[in-house]
Amino acid sequence: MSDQRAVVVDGVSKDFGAHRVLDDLSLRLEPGSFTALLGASGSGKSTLLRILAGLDEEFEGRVVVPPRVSVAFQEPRLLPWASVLDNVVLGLDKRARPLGAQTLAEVGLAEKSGAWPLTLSGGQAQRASLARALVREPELLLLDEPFGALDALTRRSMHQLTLDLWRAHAPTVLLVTHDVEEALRLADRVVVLQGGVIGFDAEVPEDRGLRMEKPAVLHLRRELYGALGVDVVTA
Amino acid sequence: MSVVSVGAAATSATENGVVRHGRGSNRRRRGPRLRYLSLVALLVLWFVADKADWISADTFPGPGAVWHAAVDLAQSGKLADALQVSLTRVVIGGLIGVVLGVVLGLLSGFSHLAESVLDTPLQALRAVPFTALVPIFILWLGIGEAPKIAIVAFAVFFPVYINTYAGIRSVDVKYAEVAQVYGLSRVAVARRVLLPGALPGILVGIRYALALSWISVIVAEQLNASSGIGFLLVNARQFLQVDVMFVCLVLYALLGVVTDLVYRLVERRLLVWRRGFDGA
Ligand SMILES: Nc1ncnc2c1ncn2[C@@H]1O[C@H](COP(=O)(O)OP(=O)(O)OP(=O)(O)O)[C@@H](O)[C@H]1O
Ligand SMILES: [Mg+2]
Repeated sequence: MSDQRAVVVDGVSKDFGAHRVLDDLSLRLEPGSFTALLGASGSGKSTLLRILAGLDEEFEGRVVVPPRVSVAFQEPRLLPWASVLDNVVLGLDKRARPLGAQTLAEVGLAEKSGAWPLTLSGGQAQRASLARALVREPELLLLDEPFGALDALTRRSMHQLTLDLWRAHAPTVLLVTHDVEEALRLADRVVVLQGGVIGFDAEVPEDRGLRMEKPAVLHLRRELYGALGVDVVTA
Repeated sequence: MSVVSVGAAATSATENGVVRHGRGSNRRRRGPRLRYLSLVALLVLWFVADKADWISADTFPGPGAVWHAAVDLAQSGKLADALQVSLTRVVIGGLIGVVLGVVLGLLSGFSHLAESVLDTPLQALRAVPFTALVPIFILWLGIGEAPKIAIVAFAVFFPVYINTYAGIRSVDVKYAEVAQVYGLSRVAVARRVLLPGALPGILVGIRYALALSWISVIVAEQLNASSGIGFLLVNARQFLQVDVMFVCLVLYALLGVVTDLVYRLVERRLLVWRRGFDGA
């Protein structure tokens, strides 16, 4: 079970015209691991996710991904002409509808299942998009800043939901985020994309939930901010 | 400090900034009422023009004379006959044109192969005015119902085809990507994403087509027919029945309005998910 499901990015380069966004990037994600991907805006995080999702085939190099991939896009991308529940169960069997409704309830949108997506608030749309990604028990789960539009409290509960689902089905998770705290709280590995390659790569030590005050994690946090070019004095 | 008066202006500039007053929710729309009011005003103007002899009854009969002519036509059964004949032609020809337009538009929209085969000849054909085809269709199809139906179908086809095709091509790729990621088949992508995404465009085409269907049937009936509203008009002209001619004109206008009303109802049901700007 182990090796076949690993995600492999092998010497991937990607150009947009003269602009090289990914430059011979290699990365390996172990099956069932939870990795946070950080990097400055425009560093190529979404580009890498699109390649992994099979949406961009114009790149050099090689990637290996499991068959069932699920994506929460940076914008919610709910089909405006389908109800929220229909969006969540898009592409799934009819029998998945109860599960879809349940997942909607878990993201706090039980009463919105029949609503039109254009009537949702930004945060509600993002939660519906998250539900759509989580409901299908993928082997690889790609999350592109899925918590960006959420308030602190909702964000916490969505973190918990994501972790619960990860523990239940053990997908390989690649989570793009700008939030260092979020990365350290959720992931067991953090990588930073810079200059078209993985410029920083570290395991997150300690147990989730207990780890945020631990010296080793505080040290890693400082290192991460450094890698992201943020002044650490106040951070 | 400046005092803001609550009054006619919803927005006013003060030294503190721009002040906006809410209009409350569930505001009654004055659009529909205004729409009918302007129609009534036009009728009143017509009535007054007739009474004041601004218009001559020989060339521009008043509402009363037109009404009497309409009643006569209705009582003799001619009006219902003409209506039924024209309506049948519009419905059959319109259906053929809409179905063909949607199907070929979808094909051109979906597949580059179909596009390269279909689109150029159709664009060339589009430049041919349907009026020019009336004699050809009579030559080919005789003088029965077929040429009239063919004219309507031809006129209706192009706006539907072009808007369907453009509608498919304007569907945002980001939605198609969602479908692709979640493993929808090509057929499912077409049905769940491209078709609903193109629907607003398709409906625009159909709306044009509905107006064109009436115009084209009238033209076809004026050039060659022994029944229908267009025939009624030609006939009235021959016998200098100006009032009957006006009955036909008013009838066209009414048919256009009714058709558009029906269209709006259908559109509202089909596009409930949209939250677009629908007028100020
Ligand atoms: N379709 C495209 N055409 C041209 N350039 C593109 C395209 N998509 C992305 N880029 C460029 O590639 C670079 C990386 O974009 P990408 O969306 O991957 O950034 P990102 O790391 O996800 O940024 P953010 O954190 O702001 O979402 C940017 O400079 C962007 O302008
Ligand atoms: Mg991005």
